[in-house]
Amino acid sequence: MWEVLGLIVAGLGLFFVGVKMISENAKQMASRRLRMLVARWTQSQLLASLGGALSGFVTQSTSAATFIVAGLTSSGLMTVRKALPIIIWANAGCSILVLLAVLDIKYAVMLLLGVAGISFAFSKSVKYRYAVGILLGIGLLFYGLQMIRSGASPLAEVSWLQSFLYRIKGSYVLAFIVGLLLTFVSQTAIGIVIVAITMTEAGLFSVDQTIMLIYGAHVGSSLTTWFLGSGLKGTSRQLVVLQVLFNIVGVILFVSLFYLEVLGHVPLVKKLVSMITLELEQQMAYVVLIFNFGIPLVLSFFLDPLHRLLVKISPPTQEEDLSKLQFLHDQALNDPETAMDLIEKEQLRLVKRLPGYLESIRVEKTGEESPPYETVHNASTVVATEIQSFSIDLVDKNLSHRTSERLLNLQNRHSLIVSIEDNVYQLVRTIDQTDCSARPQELIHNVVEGLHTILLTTVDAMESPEEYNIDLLISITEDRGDLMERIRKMYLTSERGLEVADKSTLLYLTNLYERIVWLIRRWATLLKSAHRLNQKDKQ
Amino acid sequence: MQITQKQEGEVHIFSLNGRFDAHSAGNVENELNLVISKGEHNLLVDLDGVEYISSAGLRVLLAATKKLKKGKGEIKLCCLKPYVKEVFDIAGFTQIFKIYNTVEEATQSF
Repeated sequence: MWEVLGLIVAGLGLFFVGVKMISENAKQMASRRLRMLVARWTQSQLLASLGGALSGFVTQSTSAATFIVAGLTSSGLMTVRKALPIIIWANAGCSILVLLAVLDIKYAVMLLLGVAGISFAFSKSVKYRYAVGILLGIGLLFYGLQMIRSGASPLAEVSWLQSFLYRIKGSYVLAFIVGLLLTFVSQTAIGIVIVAITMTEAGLFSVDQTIMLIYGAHVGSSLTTWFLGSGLKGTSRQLVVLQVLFNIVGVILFVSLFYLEVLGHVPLVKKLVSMITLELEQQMAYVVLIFNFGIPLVLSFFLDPLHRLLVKISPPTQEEDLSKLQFLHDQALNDPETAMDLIEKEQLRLVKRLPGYLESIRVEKTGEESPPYETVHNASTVVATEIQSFSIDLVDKNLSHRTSERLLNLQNRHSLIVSIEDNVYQLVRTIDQTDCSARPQELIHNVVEGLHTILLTTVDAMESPEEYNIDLLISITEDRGDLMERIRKMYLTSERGLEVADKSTLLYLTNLYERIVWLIRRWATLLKSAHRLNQKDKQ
Repeated sequence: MQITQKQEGEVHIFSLNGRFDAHSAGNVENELNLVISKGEHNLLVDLDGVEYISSAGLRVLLAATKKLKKGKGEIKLCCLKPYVKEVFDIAGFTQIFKIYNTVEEATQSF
């Protein structure tokens, strides 16, 4: 029993690590070029559907396919709308295995884990490492699922379970529940369906019961997906909801047809499969195929309303909204000057967020609800990376000397904004997590209010880059090394009675503050150069 | 916040008393704008009674100095409490404002 439990728990652990690895590495790899490639591939619904069916066939798990695609959508490699055909047709691909009976991918997974693991450990190229990280994540995900399966498989051979199955003979509802529960525990609908078909051949179940068990297994698969996806939010969760809806809606439809056929004697699915083949095993396999091909076929005509429903059920998170670019688009690359104007607009969005980081630690509240600084930091990192990639793509264009000069200035300013953002985030996080005694709180408060003022002045300078505003910013960010040293000494003298931990926090915070002010000054100086360049052009 | 005003020669003196925060900043800003729009060029803000200042207060002073600069006027500050002075130092405002220890000293400097 302990071995069963151990295998299931360890399998779950590996599964979640795998999901995380796919998502994290895909995020790192999600360069604009790669995104454009995937976007082109998913542009065609037919290609996306075929890709989905193939992924379902290869992965043998709709849950796995759902989470792999969810990782790709959360990293921005693919939109949810484009991922819909992939997910629904993954169900069809997965069901082909029932017909093929069993295809053991155990060794393929081991091979993948070995090759990816060794490559991951010894790879030196960063880009290559991310790609290998995704493969390793997929390997871990499958290995985890296999551990769960092998942990749960002895359950099917337990004598009390077999006698229980014998006792429920004749009940459709109980067969449905058995299919549901066994799939939820074993994490494999297809596996349970194959076992059930085998048991039908052995006379343990009637044909009607097996059909209901197949439908129950699909609901169990939904429960599994729902359970594994409970940690997902926003657009990534939309795909989980889709997978759950796929099975639930399908089962409601097919169970209704089942009762209509059994009780109303209307020739439907059962009649259809008996016309295709006389073999009992194959008939049941066709039931699975009709279910998993029929639903995607119908849903393919309703992808837009389906997407709207998913957005309603699981709207994008605040972080996802904040991570979206507002001005940059690929077509803008054709006109470098416009592209640079748009980069500046995106940079302004990042700079405008900076004062909001301090709201959570300020004594004085502005009344405006600011998103949590962790959320803003994560989202800003995504936006900053996008801007960076866009400006790198711009370098490849045939730029004039003057345009190159402007772009270089813009790129340098961008690096500084990224550093400023990161340092402000570090400062806010440190203050938020520090419980200093009363005296240093006074200095912390002064630092926070001082920095808040400087950041607001930075926004002013960027919004209206007039000479006066920029000069003002340069003036208030003048080197304050001596001043900060004096303040530090004042607070750190032993008479103040500060704890050692408080002293080191104060040192860290004042150093961070000095660094932020220094970075803003460098940024303002570059802004001034850009402003002068602009003025010169106008003349 | 209590705001009292008086005229000493060519200098218009504002004496602030209380907390100079987001709550009071609007009032102070309105009073300063009113005086600037009347054509006053030399403003002195006496911060002796201010025991607390936030970024909202600092921004009001910054906005006033911007407005006065356009009309060749000037705003000066005096009598900052050590706590308030520290905020000014940290925000870099001691670089852009002339700060005096007493009202007399500040008035004579115009």
